[in-house]
Amino acid sequence: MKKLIIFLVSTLLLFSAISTAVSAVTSPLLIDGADLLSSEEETSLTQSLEQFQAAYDMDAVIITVDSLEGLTPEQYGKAIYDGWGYSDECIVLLVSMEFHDVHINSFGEVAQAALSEDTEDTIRENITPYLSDGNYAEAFETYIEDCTYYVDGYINGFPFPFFTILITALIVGFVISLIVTGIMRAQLKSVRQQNAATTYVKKGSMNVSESRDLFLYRNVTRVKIPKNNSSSGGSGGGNHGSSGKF
Amino acid sequence: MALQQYKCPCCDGAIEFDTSVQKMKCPYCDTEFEMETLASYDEDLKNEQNDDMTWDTSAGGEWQEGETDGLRVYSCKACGGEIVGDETTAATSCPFCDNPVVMMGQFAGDLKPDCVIPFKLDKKAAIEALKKHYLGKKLLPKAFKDQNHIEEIKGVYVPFWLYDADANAHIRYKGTKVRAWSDSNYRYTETSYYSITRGGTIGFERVPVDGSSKIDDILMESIEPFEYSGAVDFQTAYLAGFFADKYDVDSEQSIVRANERIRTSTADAFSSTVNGYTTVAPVSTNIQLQNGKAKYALYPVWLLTTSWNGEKYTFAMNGQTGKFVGDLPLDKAAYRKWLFGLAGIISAAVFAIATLFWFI
Repeated sequence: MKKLIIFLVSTLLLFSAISTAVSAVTSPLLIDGADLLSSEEETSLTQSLEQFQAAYDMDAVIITVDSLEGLTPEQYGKAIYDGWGYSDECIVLLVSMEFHDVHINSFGEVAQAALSEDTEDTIRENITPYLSDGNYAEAFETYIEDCTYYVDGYINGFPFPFFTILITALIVGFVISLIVTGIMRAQLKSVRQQNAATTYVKKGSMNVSESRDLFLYRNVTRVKIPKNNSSSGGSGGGNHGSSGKF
Repeated sequence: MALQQYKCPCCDGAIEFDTSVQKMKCPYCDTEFEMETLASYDEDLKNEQNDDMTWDTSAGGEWQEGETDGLRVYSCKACGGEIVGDETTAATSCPFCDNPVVMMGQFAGDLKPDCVIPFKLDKKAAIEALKKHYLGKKLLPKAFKDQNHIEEIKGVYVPFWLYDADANAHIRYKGTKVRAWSDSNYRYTETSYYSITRGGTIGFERVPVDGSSKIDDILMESIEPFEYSGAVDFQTAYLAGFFADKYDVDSEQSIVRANERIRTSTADAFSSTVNGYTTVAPVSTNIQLQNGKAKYALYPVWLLTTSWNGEKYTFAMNGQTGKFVGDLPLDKAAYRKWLFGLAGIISAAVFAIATLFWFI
């Protein structure tokens, strides 16, 4: 009997140890497969990602790879969500160096509600300049900041953009005032040179004796309509995320 | 030089041209006279007259060389007072007894105007128009309105040269017509190029140019148009009660300005016949003018010159149509107050509305 209890307890302990280890190994929030970051940067970013996870009960994930192995960024992103053991609420940032792809997608009810496709486009556009310059750490920090802003805004409500509205109101007020006072100033001037003599034309004296319209040549140019690469559609069944190049 | 004062046959007072009845009227006994009755006074003008000038140096002082050039002195028939004018003064009023006088010699022979448009609006109307001109101008300094010497507004017959011309134009343009369409793969733009020619004639009559160097030409252009249908044959009697100048810019000089305006109008008239193109640009413009004989006319203008803050301001009203022009000064302090005050109010309103929308 005692042996059975010891066996069961140790199995339980072993199992929980293994599962913790397994979860620690299979669901790290930052996986730098393409080795774009130094170890200090990795530590700092992982800390930020863990703070995000704790605050919003949602996994913000950063994955960098050398190649997408023939998959599209969207397919790869979905595979990450499905098979790599992240929580149901998840935001994925995928960077592939082979063809310089960057992809952001959100999964789960709350995450998808907080990050619309337009928002994902915005975040991707925010980080693309840093990626193009090779500032990967900054790019990822920006990603975390943006995710925090939008998720916090969705859950807790966005902060009142006092400064933006104040500046806009001041500019609009000044421009309108300039126009109105400009009109009032123009009222003061009434002396104008008359450059034409239209009122002195002899009525009916105009005779167009010569009128020729000659066709010379024709020129046709055409511009290719760009196909939309970043798929935006939003027809049911979850969003497609935001993909682009850097 | 012969000075003319028109005496009323009834009471011997000096009669003037009255704008409301468009006849000569005696302000003392209210009798009205037709213009024809006074035509006999102008008989002498048909002959060439020699100018005889009376030089008078003023008592008690020596005039410098050249200072007296251009001054003419006349003797008022009614009171004997000295009337000082310059070379162009043709009609004025005696500064002592206020009787109107006309300097006949200014209109002798070649100098006789072909026609005149008599004043239709009197001094009261001019003052009213000036007051109306101030209304609603929020940036006008208050002190300006108060300090104007409104009573000094003068009715002046301004000498004008009237030009007729026939313009012969030949203009070439380049034009384009643009068409755009697209299919599923491409956006197409088709541009067709054309060479357009327009030619023909157009006539102008009585284009006015200010013949007095003392009066600003641009100011006179601003009060156009004058309606030629109101013009009558010239008689010196019309000038009584008003001021007048004869021309000092001759017709060869003034024709330059008239031709400028005629050319612009011709180009505009022919350009307006080019229709249906997306873009039109003239390539070569060839306009030949054949000018007819210039006419010399006197047109009625109410003038007031005033100065304020070191700047001169001149107002003019068309004595026939009543059109009033004149640049006004800007009250800088009021302008700043309006600019920032309005900006502040609108900014506050926009801010309040945006905040409201945010929290709904």
